[in-house]
Amino acid sequence: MKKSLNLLLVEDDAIEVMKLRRVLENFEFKHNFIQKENGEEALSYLSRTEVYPSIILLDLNMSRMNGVEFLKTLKSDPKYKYIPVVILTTSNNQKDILDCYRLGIAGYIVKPLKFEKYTECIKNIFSYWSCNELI
Amino acid sequence: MDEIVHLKKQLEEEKRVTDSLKKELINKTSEIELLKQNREQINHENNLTQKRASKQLESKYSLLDKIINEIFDKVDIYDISWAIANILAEYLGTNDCVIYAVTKSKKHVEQIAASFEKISIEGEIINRLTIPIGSGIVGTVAKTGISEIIHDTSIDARYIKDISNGYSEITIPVILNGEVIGVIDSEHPDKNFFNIEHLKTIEDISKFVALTLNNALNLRDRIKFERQLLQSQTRLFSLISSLDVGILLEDEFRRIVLTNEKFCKLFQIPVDPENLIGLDCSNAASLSKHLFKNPELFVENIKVLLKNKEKVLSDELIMVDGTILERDYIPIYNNKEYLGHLWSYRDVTLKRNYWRSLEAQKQKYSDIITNMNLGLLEVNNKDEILMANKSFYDISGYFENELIGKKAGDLFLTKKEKIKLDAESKKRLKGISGLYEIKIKNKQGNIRYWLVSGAPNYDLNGKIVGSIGVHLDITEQRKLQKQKEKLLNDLKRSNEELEQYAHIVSHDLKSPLNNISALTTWIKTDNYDKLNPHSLEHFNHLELTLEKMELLISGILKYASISKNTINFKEQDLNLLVNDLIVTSNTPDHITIKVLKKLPKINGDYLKLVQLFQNLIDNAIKFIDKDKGLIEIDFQDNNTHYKFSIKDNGIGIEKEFHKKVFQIFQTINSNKNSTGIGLSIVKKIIDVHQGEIWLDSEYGKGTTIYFTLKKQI
Repeated sequence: MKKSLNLLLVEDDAIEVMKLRRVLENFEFKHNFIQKENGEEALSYLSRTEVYPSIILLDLNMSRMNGVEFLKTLKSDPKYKYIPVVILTTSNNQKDILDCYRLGIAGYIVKPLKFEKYTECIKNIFSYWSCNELI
Repeated sequence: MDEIVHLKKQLEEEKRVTDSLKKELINKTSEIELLKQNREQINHENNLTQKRASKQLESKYSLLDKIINEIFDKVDIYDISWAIANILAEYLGTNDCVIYAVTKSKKHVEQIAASFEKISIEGEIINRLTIPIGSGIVGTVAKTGISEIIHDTSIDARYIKDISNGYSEITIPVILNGEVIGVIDSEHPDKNFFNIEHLKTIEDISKFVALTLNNALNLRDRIKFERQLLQSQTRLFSLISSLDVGILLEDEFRRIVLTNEKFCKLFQIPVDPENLIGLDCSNAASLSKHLFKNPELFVENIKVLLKNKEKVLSDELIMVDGTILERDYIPIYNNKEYLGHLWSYRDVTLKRNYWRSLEAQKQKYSDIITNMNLGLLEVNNKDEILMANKSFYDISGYFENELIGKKAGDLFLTKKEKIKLDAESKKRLKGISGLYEIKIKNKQGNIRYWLVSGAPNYDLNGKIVGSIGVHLDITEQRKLQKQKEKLLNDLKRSNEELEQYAHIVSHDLKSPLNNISALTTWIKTDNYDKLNPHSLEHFNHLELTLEKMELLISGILKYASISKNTINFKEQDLNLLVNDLIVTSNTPDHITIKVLKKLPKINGDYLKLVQLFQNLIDNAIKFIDKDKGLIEIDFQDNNTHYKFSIKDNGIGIEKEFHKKVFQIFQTINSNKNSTGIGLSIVKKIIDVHQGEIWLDSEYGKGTTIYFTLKKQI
């Protein structure tokens, strides 16, 4: 029983946003999709919204508040700390991976170069999470 | 008438006188009668007294006789007094008679005999009674010199109770020349036992006892004195004979009175020293002169000494065999009368040599101290400089007169450094040595760094009187050390920065690359129908180029992430690791990989070792151009390292590239999968495992890559 997901993408790169949008558009199943430029914006959105996102896709390398800082704030707030976060980044730096897992993440995806492979990754994430019972 | 009356009166008068005379005569006659009676009485009494006296005299004589018989062959005072005490006890009819003698100090009387209890001169008797003069009955009598009989001692406060209670006591002083020299004391258990006769008898006897005791006492003292004299004489003789000094005592005629073994030994006289006594020494000097280095001088000296007869001490004589003697000549005078002289010869060879070697040692050490390149400084407990060596003047810039007596701390140290020195000084006072570094200002005002080794300084009694420090100027070394530390820090930081930089750059490059790739794909897919075959071909090239660029960036990242800090060393079974690798890798069918020996276990990082073997095997596979490919993996034990080899029958590498292949970004063949980073990564992994890599290759035939890995890191 696939569900429609409320998706929050935290990403400042326009083309990356386009990529995800294009992947989602090709899905037969529609999901709600909100994008924020960086951690700050994402946090301010969260404090305003009444419907919490069911899953957050997070880039690490952003201006103002980067991904790790955002994750830290999120995980220390009892209201948000149960929202699953999947990291979507180009960095496979061991240190970044460790930091993120320590803080608590639901997945860590290194963006593949080829768009077909990228599409496959995103599909897998969505098919997995839409099988889950979410808050 | 008158006449008649007168005559009558006269007659009457005469008659009265006649009457009174008659009366008187009668009185006298009765008186005479009384006197007669008295005389008879007296005669009778006289008789009795005489009889008693003679009896007394008789018993006295028999007592004296007994005493003389007992003691005439005895000399020991204790034997004598014991005999007397026994005889007196027998005479008195008691078994308790004690004789005391006044001690030399004249403050006490001391028991010297008790009837039936023997005291000998050798064995001192325990509990021998000593009574202070004036105390008790015995003490009183010793003080007053008056005999006493006590009929009932229980009512006499002075009585000192002895072993058994005696109710009667008789105490008689022994007096010689008016002085009490002893006391005879006897007791009897019954009251009223002793009488005046006992007293008189013993008083008389005591005069004899006095003489006897006095003689015996004198004898005792003389024997004691003679014994002591003999003892001290014997001691003196044995001392002289065993003395390590040669002794020769001559009388005024130069005859030997005394000599000892050491003397005979020193002068090589093969005779017992006793046999030399009485011999004439007039010719002795010329007989023994051959023993000395300067024989004539020896003889001459003795002549002079004997002529002058004046004391000369510590003359040094050197013998032919190298022995050094010290000679004393001491003339002996008694009231200015010359009686002879004493020669003493001491062997001081050892002492002289010891002193000489001590002197040489001292010289040696003082030379070392003066010339060593370490500054030496001695200070007292107040930190005042007592001594410094030349090197210290050199390193401090001060001269001797500018240092001695000054406080070292004030001269060289800043406040902060003084605190450090104070702490060190406290340690010295506790006797603890220490090594420390200190910052000082020399005379020129330059800051220098000294390494100081300080030790407490003790005087002869083991008291700490200050400290001695050895100073080494380490300013230059310190500068170098600082530079080195800084360089290392810089290096570390720049390495870290580089690593970080590689990461950032790679990621920053990767993102746009991803974007270009996505955009390219979209344009291609969106316009697939409109593109001509050439354009499609170009798109394929574009995609391949992007892929290669991505590989390149990933390679740089991998290369940057290999450093000692990120490596986790553990024991790894290479046999397991490599075989797993062969099984899971996609080896083309025409290529066989063989492991020739069971590979060893080594200490290393699992992931990096996998990467190492993977890269090398992949490389080998990549360059095999033969129909049947063969890759052989082998190793040798090389003590500290294992030497591995991976041999292929591929295209080989031209000689000029053998070294170049390990440099980053170097590719020999243009291959779509070659980035030029693979072997660089391999080399870096081998570097962190403290090994080396090299290769052997013949172009067209194949390549063997050799590398070593350290067994234990």
